[in-house]
Amino acid sequence: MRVLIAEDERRLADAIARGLRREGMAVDVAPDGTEALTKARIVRYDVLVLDRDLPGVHGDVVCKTVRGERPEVGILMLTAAAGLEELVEGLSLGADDYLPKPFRFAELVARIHALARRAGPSRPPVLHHADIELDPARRVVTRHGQAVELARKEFAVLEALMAADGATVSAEELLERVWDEHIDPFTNVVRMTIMTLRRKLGEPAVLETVIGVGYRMV
Amino acid sequence: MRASEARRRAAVRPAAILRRLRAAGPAPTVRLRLTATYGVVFLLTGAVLLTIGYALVRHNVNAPRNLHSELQKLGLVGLAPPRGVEFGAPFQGGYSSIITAVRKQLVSDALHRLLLEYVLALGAMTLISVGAGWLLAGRALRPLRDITATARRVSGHNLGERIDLAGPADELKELADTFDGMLARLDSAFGSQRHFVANASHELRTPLAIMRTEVDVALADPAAGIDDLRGMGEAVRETIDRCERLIEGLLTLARSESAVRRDEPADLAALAGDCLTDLRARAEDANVEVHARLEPARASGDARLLERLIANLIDNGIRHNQPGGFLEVSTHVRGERAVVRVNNSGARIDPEHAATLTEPFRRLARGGDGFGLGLSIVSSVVAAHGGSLRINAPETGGLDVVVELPAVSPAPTMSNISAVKGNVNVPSALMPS
Repeated sequence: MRVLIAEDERRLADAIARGLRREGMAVDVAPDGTEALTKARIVRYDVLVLDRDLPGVHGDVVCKTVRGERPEVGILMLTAAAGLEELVEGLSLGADDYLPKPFRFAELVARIHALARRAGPSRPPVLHHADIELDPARRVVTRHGQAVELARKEFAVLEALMAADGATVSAEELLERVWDEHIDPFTNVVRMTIMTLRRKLGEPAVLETVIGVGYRMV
Repeated sequence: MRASEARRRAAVRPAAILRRLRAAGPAPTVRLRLTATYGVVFLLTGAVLLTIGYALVRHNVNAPRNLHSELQKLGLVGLAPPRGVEFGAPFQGGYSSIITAVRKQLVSDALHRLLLEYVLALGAMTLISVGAGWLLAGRALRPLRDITATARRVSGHNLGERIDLAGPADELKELADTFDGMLARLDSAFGSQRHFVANASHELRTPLAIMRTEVDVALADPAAGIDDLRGMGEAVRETIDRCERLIEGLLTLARSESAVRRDEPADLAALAGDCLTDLRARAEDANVEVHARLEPARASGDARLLERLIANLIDNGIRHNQPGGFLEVSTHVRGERAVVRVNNSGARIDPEHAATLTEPFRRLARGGDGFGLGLSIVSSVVAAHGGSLRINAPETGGLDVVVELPAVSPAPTMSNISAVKGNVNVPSALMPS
């Protein structure tokens, strides 16, 4: 899952990014509205965590613009104004969710998961494929009812492939959805991760390479 | 049981009617009173006028007249009996007495009828005038009803309402305009209050959000090492420092907004000197050259707040400066005023923006470590001490802030005189930068 945090408080943005990365999300940070808009135009984010009071381009404008250009992105507004009026106003600008500061981090994570599920085609909270079960919120994967220990990126790659529901997902797309902007685009990290995943999931093989195109679940 | 209830209901009914009347609108007592006054005045004037008229008529018709000359005036000379001859002897009193009696009767009848008609006319006119008075009073009082209705509608949430009374510039228009002016002032006061609360809550919630997230993220990681926890602790401490500075600023602002209770003499030059000593290291770090020209300038008030005022000005001057820039601090007395002036180089500031800098949480640039309270504190300290504040944004950049406070003449002690002399002889004490 790819998340953009648009927040001008550097410390807060860093702390959120650290926490979300540990949840297995690919996180980028934009310190102002201008950069947030630029990044949201380049990368297909699943969720945008948007501080309302942004310098440069105001958060309200970012929200409206992103909503207009990319209706599939889930937008979660963060703001220090906790009144009902602000909430109604924020949601009417096109935000999907609204979280007043200070918030509990676990709540932020749960809401981001809920938004990611809502964005794009709706999918169940727990993903199934054959005898594999993946629960994104609790970060648990089982096969034959046995827990499978996965690293964060492995988990995220498996989640992306299971969410595609048998369709082929290209390596570039996996790179975009699972890794953040700091990754080298010519890396073979996707191939390596798929190899580890295959080993950890065991027999019978469920991950298939579609040569020259990408990967899919069988 | 039932009877008592009926009685109670009967007793309640007039009160209920009265309540309903009141609910329908304000009790029109002023209108009633005006109408009654108008009616009574009309009645009295009318009565007096008619009485005078009646008396005059009566006086004139009853005036004693010579019958003979009256008849002659009418050309009825032939009818008049010759002088000395009593005509119609069969009648007692004779001819003349008959005419007099008839005349008396006629006059009396006419006067009687006149009186009756006067009373009737007076009654009718009084009724008409009371009706007209009622209408006129209602008309005259309508603006008052508008004012009342607006005042009733206005609350903390819709202070944008105005009466906007049209019509001639009379007393009621003046009242309505005064009321509008008061609403405008309240509106702006409420507005800045709301602005302040929104900003303060933003500034207080953000560090809370940072600390909460830092702690949540660190604690949620079961594998967090000592370095992670240490990093979290440092981040939290840094954020607490920020909270402390914010709360300190808000408390100072609140203190300075309440009236000055202390009334101790304070030499602005000495206070500025102390501040410069404290902040010299910061100025050196920022590579800002400091010039001080401190002549004694005695004011009175809360020395702690006055020191804070000067410290804030100097701090701003260093913070919003440029490397290689300058900062000039001067104090002196001009007439009845003790003056502090802080002038610094820096980026050019829009004069309109400069004028708003005294509003709380107004910042020149975001992302700095200031909260935008410094000049608000300066402004309210100056106001509490009965002084004036001028903020100029010169074309060349930076800010030029002049604070004037009521000066206090120093007690004529030897040390004071020598201090004054010393500074007059050597007017510029140059601080090393």
